[in-house]
Amino acid sequence: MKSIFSQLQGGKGGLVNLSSMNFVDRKVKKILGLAVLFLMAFVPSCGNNPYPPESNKLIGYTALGEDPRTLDPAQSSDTTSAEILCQFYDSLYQNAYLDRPYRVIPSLAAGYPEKRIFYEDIQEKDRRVKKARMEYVFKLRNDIYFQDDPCFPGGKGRRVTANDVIYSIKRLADPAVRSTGYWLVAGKIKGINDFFNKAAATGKADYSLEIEGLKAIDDRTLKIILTEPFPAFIYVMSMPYTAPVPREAVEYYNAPDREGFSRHPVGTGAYRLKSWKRQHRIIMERSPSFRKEYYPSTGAPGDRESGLLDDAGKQLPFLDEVWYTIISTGQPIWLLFLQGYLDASGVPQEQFDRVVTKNMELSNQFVKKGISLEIASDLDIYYLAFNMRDPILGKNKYLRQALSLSYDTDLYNQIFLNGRAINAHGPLPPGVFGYDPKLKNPSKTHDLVKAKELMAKAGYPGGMDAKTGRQLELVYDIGSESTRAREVATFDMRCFEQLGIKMKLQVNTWSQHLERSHKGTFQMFSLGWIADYPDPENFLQLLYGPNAPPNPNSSAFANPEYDRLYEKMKSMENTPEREAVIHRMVEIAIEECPWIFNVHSPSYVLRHSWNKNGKSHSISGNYRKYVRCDPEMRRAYRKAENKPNRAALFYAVALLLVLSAPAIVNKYVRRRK
Amino acid sequence: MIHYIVRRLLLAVPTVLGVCLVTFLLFNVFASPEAVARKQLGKNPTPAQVKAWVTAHGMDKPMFFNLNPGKDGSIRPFDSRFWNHMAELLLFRFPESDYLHEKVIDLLKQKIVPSLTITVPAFLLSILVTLPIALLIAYYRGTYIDRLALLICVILMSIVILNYIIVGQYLLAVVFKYFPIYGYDFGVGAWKFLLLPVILAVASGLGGGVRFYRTVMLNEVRADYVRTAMAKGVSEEGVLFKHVLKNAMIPILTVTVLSIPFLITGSLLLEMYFGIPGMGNLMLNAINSHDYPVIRTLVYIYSLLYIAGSILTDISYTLVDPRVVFE
Repeated sequence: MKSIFSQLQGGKGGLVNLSSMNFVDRKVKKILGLAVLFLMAFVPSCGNNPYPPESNKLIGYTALGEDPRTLDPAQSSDTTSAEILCQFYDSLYQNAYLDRPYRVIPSLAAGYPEKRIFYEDIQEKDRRVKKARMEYVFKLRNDIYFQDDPCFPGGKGRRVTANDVIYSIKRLADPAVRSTGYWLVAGKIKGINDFFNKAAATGKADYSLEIEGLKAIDDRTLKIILTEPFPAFIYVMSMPYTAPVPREAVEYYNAPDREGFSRHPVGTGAYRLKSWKRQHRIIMERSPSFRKEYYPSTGAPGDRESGLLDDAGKQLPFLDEVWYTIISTGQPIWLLFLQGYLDASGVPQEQFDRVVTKNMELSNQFVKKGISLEIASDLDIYYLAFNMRDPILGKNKYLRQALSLSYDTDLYNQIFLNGRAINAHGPLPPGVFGYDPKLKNPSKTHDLVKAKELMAKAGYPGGMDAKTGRQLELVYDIGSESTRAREVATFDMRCFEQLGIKMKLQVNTWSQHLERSHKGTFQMFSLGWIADYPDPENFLQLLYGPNAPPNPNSSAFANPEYDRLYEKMKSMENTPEREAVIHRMVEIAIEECPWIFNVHSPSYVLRHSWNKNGKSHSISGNYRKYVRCDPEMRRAYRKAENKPNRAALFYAVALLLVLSAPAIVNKYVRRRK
Repeated sequence: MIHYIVRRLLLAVPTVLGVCLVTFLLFNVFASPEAVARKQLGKNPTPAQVKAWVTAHGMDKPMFFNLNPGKDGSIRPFDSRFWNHMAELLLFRFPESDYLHEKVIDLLKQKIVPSLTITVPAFLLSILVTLPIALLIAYYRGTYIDRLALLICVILMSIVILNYIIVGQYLLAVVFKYFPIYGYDFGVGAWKFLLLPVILAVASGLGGGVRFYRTVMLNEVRADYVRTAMAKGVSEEGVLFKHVLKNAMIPILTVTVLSIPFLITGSLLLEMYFGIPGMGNLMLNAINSHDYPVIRTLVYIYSLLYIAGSILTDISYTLVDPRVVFE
């Protein structure tokens, strides 16, 4: 073996300076020795705990899939922002924590609102008509204070008044706020559209302008007049959009030299913001000014048996702090959960078979660790929409029904959702008033024989156009270039191709997709809808004719009877009569088939044994205040699960030495020479 | 030298303008303002809201030249989307993020430090580890040690960085439990979270780096001055470390100096998988949320950094090689 220099010197190696080599050897040995020491001693002691040493505080550890875009309640449309905001801001109403189906109960309000329907004479074109209006009178509790904050004189939070609620609703209609919740009140509260239009025209909203439908009768009494009866409005008053925000905070934090109100929440909730490092962590702490509120003493069937009522009557909140770590990829959430550094987790798709048995129960290895599984139905619907303005699909009911019959939802569920989803037969998910568990959609039976018969009836026997003799070709749009979207689209198209139809995939960027959807230049694509509030109106509006694109009725479905019933149902209370109307609307939707109803997707949540009182919710809310934890149990679990493996490090160092052996031997041989 | 730098800066102007033009076309021509507004205004915005958003963002103005009279009757031809976009970027008047509702410049200030805490140690350690290994392999050139090392290098090069991250994270943090899987700390405690990403960053670049530096060294050891130095009795290590290393610096500098400005931009994958709230994470989130003001600002800054890196590299040549002169 020769060095390059010895080769240059004719292979004799005579110029190798042995003394200097010894010097290098000594240095190398020293560095190697230090490296080995570092590896053996320092690395395992570093530990895998991602949190600072524990204090005596009761802390809840949880993960967020992304950074909240804002902490301004007027701008929160995403579930992540809402999850955080709801802990800081309370609205007049809240969802009962344990009750199912969902039910709103007073939060900042002192009881349910008084409401009455009255009639107004209005001029409509060339005639006078009587128009029904609805008046709500809300009474606020007198023990509600904003959290202490430097925006208030002396830093002490003041009492919440009816004017604060009015101010918050006005902010939704201020174009400068860019609220994502304006649609909830636009056209509903009398005079609010005029307020928006004036502000848009002048470029600045004048908050001193009065809105006809918003009036503070006194500090604790608020009157809201709606342009038409809309009983679901109480749900709007339970959303963070309408939570009272102090005007002082908005003006203080939106001053030019400050970071903005969207980063400094000042609400009335159980928690207040302690720190927020973007894309890293949000820490919230117990708010000292939180009102006296107690854990519920009633719940859904089975709650008492599962220990969810053990803390009934105890004062809220239980945790001193809640730590939200922002983790954008699924794998670390799962691994941190297994190590005990997160209190709860979902079930990753790739781990599903390991975690959940075929009977949809938790597998033994997780039960032994004290982990529990909750399967909760979410208020959502996933569907494939047909463009009802399309000359081929829009005018041919039999063709749409045939396509629906050819779609194999069960197989889709198995391949893409581990079989965990519920087959959707109509637009309403379980848990919403009017949902019929016995409903069977005749176009959802995956019957290819029947589908082919309908194709012939539709004028396309065997997928060929009976008039032209050419094969029917349909375009399937997707709004993402991701592998997953392409895989799902391939599956969907393969179902339809069984009818002899030629399917063409149109892959769009998101903006192209939106553009095509709004212009109505697509034929079919898949969509999903998650409830804003637990009322059937929120789902049935997706097929209401006047809501055609760019509004949420993406398929531009228009049926006079459906529209008439929708208008009637919208203003009705949850009565058997309303239920009958809803059932008829669902029947129309099934018969006309503007969508292929695909699935409702339940959520699977895993919790550690120390995480008490956890219950899943499909609607965002102020639920953290109910959660309790047992820090001793958590500490013991973490200790048992996170012992570093020193032996592996020893073997790694040994392997490194073995790999270096040829060089060491070579050195030795050369030195001997 | 100053003359040369000024000339390079002037030559960079068309490149910068080109970048500005491309970003404008990408974000204004291929996505309609209404589509952008609808994305940012949530699930169900009213048409009036969309219109107000478009107006507030100046996206209702003509594309290139505004020949419409304003409210006061005057015509401002340069009050158009294109010229406003150019002014924003060229004058560093970066806009507000559509998604996060914060000024982009404030977001950049928050993200640069976490990115540097991972890229600077990885960069330095990478040089410190790669160069000596390359020298050592060059020392054993032609032997089976060299061939084995080259084979290992090729294997290391063939593995994509994502595999290093996933396997490294799984083995070292999950199975052996030496490091935290995920997280960051803004204080001194950050070291605990940086060890694993830095080790993986160095490991992922080791194969390519060693192979490149070895080639560079071998080109130099055949040069006449090496033979002369050896003839004069300079020790083998002296030739290697004093002469060969110094003369091999030009290609080494080209690679290293050019990568210095990109230390600021962070590592997208490492930041994402280890939860480092840096520039890479910011870019990724901006792409996911269609936050065009952030994306176009970052693209512009990256292009400026690239130009700065290229000028810096040229300047650094003169420091290591007196034969290089600026003309």
